Amino acid sequence: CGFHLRGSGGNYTLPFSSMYISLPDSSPLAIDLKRNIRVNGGTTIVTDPKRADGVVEVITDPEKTRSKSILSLNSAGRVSEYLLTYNIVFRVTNGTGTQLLGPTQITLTRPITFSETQLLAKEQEEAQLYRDMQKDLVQQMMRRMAAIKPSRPDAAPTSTVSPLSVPGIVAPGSVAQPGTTATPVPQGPAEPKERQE
Amino acid sequence: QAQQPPGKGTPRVEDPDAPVTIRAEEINGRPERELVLTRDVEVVRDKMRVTAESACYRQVESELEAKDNVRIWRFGDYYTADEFKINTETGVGFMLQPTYKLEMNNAQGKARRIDFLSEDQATVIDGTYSTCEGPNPDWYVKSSTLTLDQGRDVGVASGTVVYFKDVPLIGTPALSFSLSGARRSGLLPAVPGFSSRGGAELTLPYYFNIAPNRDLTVSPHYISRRGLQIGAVGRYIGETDAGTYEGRTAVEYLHNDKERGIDRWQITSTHSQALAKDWSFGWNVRAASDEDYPTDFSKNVAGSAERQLLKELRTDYRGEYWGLTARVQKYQVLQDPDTTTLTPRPYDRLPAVNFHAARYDVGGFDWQVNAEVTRFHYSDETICAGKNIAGQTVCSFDSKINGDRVVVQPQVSFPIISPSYFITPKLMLSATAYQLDAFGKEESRSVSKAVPTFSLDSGLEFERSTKLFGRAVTQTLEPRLFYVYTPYRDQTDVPVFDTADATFNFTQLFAENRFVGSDRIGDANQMTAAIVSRFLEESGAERLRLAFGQRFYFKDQRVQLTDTATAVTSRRSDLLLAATGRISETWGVDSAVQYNQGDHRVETSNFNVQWQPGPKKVFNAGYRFQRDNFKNIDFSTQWPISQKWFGVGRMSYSMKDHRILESLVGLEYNCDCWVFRMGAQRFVTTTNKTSSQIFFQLELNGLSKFGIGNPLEVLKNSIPGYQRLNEGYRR
Amino acid sequence: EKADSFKPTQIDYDKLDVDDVKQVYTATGNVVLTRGTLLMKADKAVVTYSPDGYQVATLTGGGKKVTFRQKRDGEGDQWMEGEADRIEYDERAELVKMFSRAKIRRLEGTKPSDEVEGEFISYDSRKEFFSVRNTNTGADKPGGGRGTMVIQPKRTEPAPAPATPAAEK
Repeated sequence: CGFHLRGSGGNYTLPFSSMYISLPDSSPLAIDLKRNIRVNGGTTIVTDPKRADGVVEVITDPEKTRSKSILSLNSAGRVSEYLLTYNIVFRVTNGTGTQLLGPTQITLTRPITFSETQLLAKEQEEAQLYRDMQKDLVQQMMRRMAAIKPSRPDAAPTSTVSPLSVPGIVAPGSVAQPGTTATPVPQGPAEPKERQE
Repeated sequence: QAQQPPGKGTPRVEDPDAPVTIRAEEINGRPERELVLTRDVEVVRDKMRVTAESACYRQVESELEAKDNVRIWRFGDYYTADEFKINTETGVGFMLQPTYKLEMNNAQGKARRIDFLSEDQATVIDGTYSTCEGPNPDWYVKSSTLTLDQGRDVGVASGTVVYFKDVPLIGTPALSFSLSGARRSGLLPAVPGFSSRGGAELTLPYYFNIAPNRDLTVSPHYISRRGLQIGAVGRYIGETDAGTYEGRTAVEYLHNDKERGIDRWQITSTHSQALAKDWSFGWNVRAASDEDYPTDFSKNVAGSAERQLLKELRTDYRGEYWGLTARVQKYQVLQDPDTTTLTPRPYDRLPAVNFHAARYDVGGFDWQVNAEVTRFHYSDETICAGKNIAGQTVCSFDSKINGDRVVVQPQVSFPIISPSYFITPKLMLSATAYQLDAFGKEESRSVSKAVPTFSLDSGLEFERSTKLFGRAVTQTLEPRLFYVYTPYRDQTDVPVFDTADATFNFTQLFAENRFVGSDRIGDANQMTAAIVSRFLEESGAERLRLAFGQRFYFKDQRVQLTDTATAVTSRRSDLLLAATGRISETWGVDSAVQYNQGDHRVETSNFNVQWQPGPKKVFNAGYRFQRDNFKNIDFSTQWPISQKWFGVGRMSYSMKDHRILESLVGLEYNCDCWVFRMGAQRFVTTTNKTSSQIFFQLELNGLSKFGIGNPLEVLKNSIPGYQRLNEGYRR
Repeated sequence: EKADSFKPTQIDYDKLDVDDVKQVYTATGNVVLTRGTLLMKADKAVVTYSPDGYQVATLTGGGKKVTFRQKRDGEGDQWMEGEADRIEYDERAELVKMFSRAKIRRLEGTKPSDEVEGEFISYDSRKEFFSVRNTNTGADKPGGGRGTMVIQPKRTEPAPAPATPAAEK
């Protein structure tokens, strides 16, 4: 039925010989992404963006904007399901700044059932689901970057946003560590001027 | 770098070296002194262009004076006036009987006079301000003085009356608003309201824009049946040389609630701060004065649906290869007086220290260590919930064993990865040691376990080109086998602090332990088989993902949570199927089914469809079922009814309890410069209580919002894919 | 410059035709009219004398532009330069009238600071007063097109060292 082993077509290798990731070294997403790039073969990670053929610029850092919203209630008005959202907006430019892939949004969601009797266990399950989304996100980013044709830059980015995703609000008292709650940019009656894509 | 909120607007700078170009049918004058220009006059200098019937330009003072039918274009703003005088160097001048149209928010208006104080600043005397198009705007602010500072996006109007369709809305002495939508200190519009639990309410918030990165909103909130409640929300974000810090603290305090005779308060506070490059500190605190606080005061679903309030203090260090987290956690649990079931209390962790280290590709090996030291504390209390049919309140003495636990879980794997296949053998060890305090008849004791695990993960990756709904895609076929062997170790003498059965889903399918938490390591001799097929566009975007998975058990599963539970003997797990993706520009699908082949029944299933045929048009339909837990259907939509009217709605219905859990219905009227929103929302707060809120709001684009409640937040949270009607305005 | 008023007007030319009866002199062929610092060049000049002995000269470029140049009072090395298809110079009124596609430039040294363009420009060098009309007859016709003037910003730093005026023949 026409299936052949991937990679034999060679369309999976990244079109960059060196890449730079604009995320702090300690960010788990950066570690996972760099690991996949190295394993992919043929691409090295550099620490100076100017010397990189491909610069991955993360516009919305998913670790700072991960959110957890209520998905469904039970008849006693308590939460029966939360929706975890992991969202990134990134773009790829070459060392000199010309854009090779426009701002692309990938939003993943995972529902997680909730029960008050297992609050501590649910906290760890949440972390497990976020790690799983991060792995999934890295795979999707690798496929996007592999599809970039440096000769035909700025292919129109196609964003894929999960149909369940609700504009991220953090349910008060959510278990996500404070470091990762949505960045509370002071918002008076007006949102700050710039709007993400 | 810290996410600094925006500074002021782009400053307006005139090029001092710009020449002045003058055109007129008749020019008379002396070079370097005065020029008299008559008929069809046009004077252009850098970012300013003036046309008029007559004008005169004094070169020495570089002063331009124009009369009759004067039109001025300046930095993207447009003015007309009878008379106009300006110094082209300093930008100081005035206009008589002007009309203006600003570039920002294309605000416009007319006035008796406009004084230009500099390139950025102008004072409009007895003028109007509106963001509506056309000569007679639907709404406008009429004010004696209106200072517009485009440089700092400030618009301060005093002696103001807001007219909507020529009906005066409010006459506030000073109303500060922003030309570009950035934040301003000032009185926010009053918010009257009504709720089933508090009666008539009125909030009069005042917003202090303390600094570009710090603000405070104080809102005295009068509740007719309870008294005066003071609410305050403080926020800050900033940067020190160590790194960023940010936080938000919200406090509500009601002195002597008339209905209950006690003080009622709630605090919600989050803070995170970088102490050094990779070292951060923070807290996340929620506390309330009494059990009924959420039911009596919560304004949104989230506020009333969560009764286990966390108080946590934490510090994290994250290096590239290792990380350390220390946390102190305490929970305040609010019992629900309307039910007889007690809300369970989780263990407090005083403290919990986690250590994680990982190195990849060390001679082909990836190794990782997770360790944790935790003190689990459970305060003995008698907790009471609601009254049973006999009228007594249901109470019970609640106590659990306390103890310390140390967990060390090293693991090493040898991944063999290539584009078309991968094989990853992995060895893990889970070593736990407990020091348990005396509890009931048992004295203090210690117990320790060490359970090894071997797993082998392998997968292939096939591809072919095919079509999905007429579009060329690459379809992948990814079969995967995941074998796990964990010997049985009796763990009935180990207490359960933070462990539970993991929800059975695709993530859990490829996890070694069928429990979540470290108190139970499930014995396993099982093989998981799964196939994932993805449909990828040429750009690499994933359009659709289909997945099937099932686990096969070669031995009974003897480790259970409680020592009374019997081993599970089934040889096959439930079958998991899932399909999710945005299959076309307009359709999105997210569905999953967990099918129990043994009993031929569905254990959990959810089907969600999103149809977005165009902007501001979305329809979501969802069915969520989990056996013996919930069976909900959910619809939500934003749909244009006519060119200007939009309907919004949401309904979440529990088929198991035949009860509407959350319902929302609303209408929005979108004019070019204002939006009117109205509607009502009702959600369940306890088993037999609901909270209903009505909201209506008039938003004058670029000025501010008037009305009850915060419908915009409600709509955004209830309707996935909802789009704001006045998207163009940043307010 | 004011001092030009006391200087004689001298005209050089290739060929001169004189009509004594009407007191009309017609000079043709790279005509040069000088009066103190005032210097005008044209292809043809028709000079008539008013009864009280003042000249009225009409210079035409015959396809080429007639140019004029004169130093101005005031500090620094300021000059006025102009050109047009036809220039009439009235010696007694010290009035220069320039017709059709006329241009005047004010220069500091060699750097132009102001420039005026129009169908008709008249420049009174004694009162240093000029006016621009939009028809080449000097009349002012509404809707008849516009004159243009470009004023360079005033320089605050000292005027550049005065370049020696290029010696023009």
